[in-house]
Amino acid sequence: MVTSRNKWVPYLFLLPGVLLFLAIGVYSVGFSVLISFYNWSGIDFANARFEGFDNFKDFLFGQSPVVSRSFYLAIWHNLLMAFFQVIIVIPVALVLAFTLQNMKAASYYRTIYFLPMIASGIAVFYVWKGLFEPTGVLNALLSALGLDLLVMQEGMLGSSSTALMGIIITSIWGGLPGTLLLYYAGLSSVNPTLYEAASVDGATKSVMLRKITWPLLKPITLIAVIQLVNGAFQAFENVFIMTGGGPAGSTEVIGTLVYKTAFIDNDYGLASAIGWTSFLITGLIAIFSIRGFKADI
Amino acid sequence: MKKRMHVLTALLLISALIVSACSSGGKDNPSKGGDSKTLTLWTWKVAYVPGFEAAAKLYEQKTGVKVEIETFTPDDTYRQKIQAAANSKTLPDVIHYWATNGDSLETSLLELTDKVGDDTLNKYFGPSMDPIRVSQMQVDNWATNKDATNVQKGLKAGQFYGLPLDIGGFFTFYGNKKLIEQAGLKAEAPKTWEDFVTMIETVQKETNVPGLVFGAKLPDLWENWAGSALQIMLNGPEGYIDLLERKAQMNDPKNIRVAEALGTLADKGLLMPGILSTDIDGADQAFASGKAAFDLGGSFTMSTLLAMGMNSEDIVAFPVPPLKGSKIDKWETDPFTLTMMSVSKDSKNADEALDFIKFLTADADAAVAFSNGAYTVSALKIGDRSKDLSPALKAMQESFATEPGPYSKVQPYIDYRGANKEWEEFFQSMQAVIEKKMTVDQATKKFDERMKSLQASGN
Repeated sequence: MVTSRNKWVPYLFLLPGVLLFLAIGVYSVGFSVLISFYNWSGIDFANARFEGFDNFKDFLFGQSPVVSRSFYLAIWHNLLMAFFQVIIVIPVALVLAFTLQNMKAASYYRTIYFLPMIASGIAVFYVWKGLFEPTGVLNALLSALGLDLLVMQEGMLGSSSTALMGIIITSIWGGLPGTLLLYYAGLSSVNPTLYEAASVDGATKSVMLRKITWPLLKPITLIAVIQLVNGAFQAFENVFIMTGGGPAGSTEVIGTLVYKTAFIDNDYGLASAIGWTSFLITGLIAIFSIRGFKADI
Repeated sequence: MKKRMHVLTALLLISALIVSACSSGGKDNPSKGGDSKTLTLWTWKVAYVPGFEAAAKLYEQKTGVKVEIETFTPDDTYRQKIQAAANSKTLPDVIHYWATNGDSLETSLLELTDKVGDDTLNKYFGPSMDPIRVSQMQVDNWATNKDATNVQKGLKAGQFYGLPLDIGGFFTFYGNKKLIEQAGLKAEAPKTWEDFVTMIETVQKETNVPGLVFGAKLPDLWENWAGSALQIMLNGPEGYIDLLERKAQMNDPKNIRVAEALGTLADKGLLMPGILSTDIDGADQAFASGKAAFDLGGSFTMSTLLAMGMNSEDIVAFPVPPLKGSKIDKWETDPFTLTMMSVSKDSKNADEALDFIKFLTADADAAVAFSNGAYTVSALKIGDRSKDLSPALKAMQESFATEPGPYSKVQPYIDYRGANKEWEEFFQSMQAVIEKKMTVDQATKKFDERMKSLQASGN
């Protein structure tokens, strides 16, 4: 029992966690904000040179045209990934969640659908890369189905026309289980008496879906949208492993651009500035999404 | 009593956290404390470890000082490891690194300018120190470049922080002898680029094996490993330097032929399908497994191909052949320093570490042992001792020019390809040329326009 004599004891127990959070969380975040205003090559901060907003001007306002071009192209690719993930994953996850609710052997299918969540990303993306090779399974399947017109001679990842589509496919595959889980939990929490009452009033299934299920799932949809958009803007693993941002910059995303700027070009300040700008963009999208959904909820 | 137990528990937890946070661990500070007779060496090149071990054994026999070798791979991981260690002052005694300067690692390395004299430096191949020693041109460039770091701006001409370990070159094509002979051709070096293209066409047509593969996933690989050699041969080193210094245009008829060389390969369908998603290792694997008849690489590629199971008798290697009408009609491998050995500034065993890297790089016994173990050519001029090298290494060394050649003249200007951003865009444009999404004319015009706009804006 906490008394006035030992009320400080709980804080002692909290102290290690707080110190850890301050040391790792706040310090690293704060330092990364700081270096975005510096020219620094990554070794010994004493040699860094304060540049004010120059790093931001380089890519936001075209002060460094090539970097600026790469930045806006990367943002565009991230936006495309976010868009396709949202419009495909949300409805598919919803349908699958409904199906899982109402079918036999649901646990078996649940295991299959949730597998991508537990699979090692790096290993999986190498497998996807193999599937998309010119002699990979995808082209073989298209050939076997008589769809030779759709066979990609350079492989899906070897052409700037199709490489981004390949990345988006893997992102959708990766984003589906998490969203499915959310909707599955959401559907399980809907009070069945609402459906019974609606059924008594003569409502059809589609009316129930539109008037009962969808409104009650809106908070979950909001979370799913924010998660998917955030995930799209944080894309790195699949792009880095599968295409490296190519060919010809056609799959460059903010993650790979930050990586190259920091670790290949040794420009940590510029990389940090790009990263934080991307964070702000993602944050703004999240805010607009919340406002948009709140208006309907 | 209970209260005391709670307080004690809380204090124990906090103490444990603080102690574990402050602890540097056993191996994290290899250059501080520990056995003064043991040096730690870091490298990323797994293939070089047998060479390092062989040289370290000789050094231990001579001095009693042991050398422990630790490997961190791949390249990116190693760079990040080195940077993190440099920031936390936990670099090992001896660092194996790419032969370069201006990477900002200088603040963590022992400066060797006053510690290694000409008696040692003169033992190396002529241009071996070029990429390692800071040049006046670099100093002048950094002084006016707004993106240069404070470390770069603080460096002086003549300073160096490493000793050259091995030399080699890019600009080498490897051909599958069996496929070439199956196509009815002789497995020998083509005299011109045009002859080479005809060779690739014939082999591809007769054997149904795709012609050429290289790591086109890396946008700048073609330029680094073949394009620059073609350009240097076509217009001489001065012509390429003019391009690098923004004094010439890529779309100029005398320069555009090099870009057209790659464009021709793409137009004729002589590149392996999926080449744009193929990296260096992937390209070597494809060649080794017979999925391509020709591979582009360097002097270091042979060891990779042999490790992948190829026989040296099944491989024909030849330098990049010149375009017809080139000023230089044959490319002699003008070796440059691939990697260097450095000493950590914070090493407790700096004297021993310096002595070791001098031994490793400038002692004939050590150089031979290292070369044979690592399958790479040492930067040391070993003279008669070359008879102790393995036959293939000896042949490779003998193929190297002994005097500075055209690439050596261009090397001081190579940094412009990184600093001048029109090149970064050009490399991506050439990927688009490979895809046939862009013509060579468009790609080279875009390069010239970007170059002019960057020059005008002071970039």
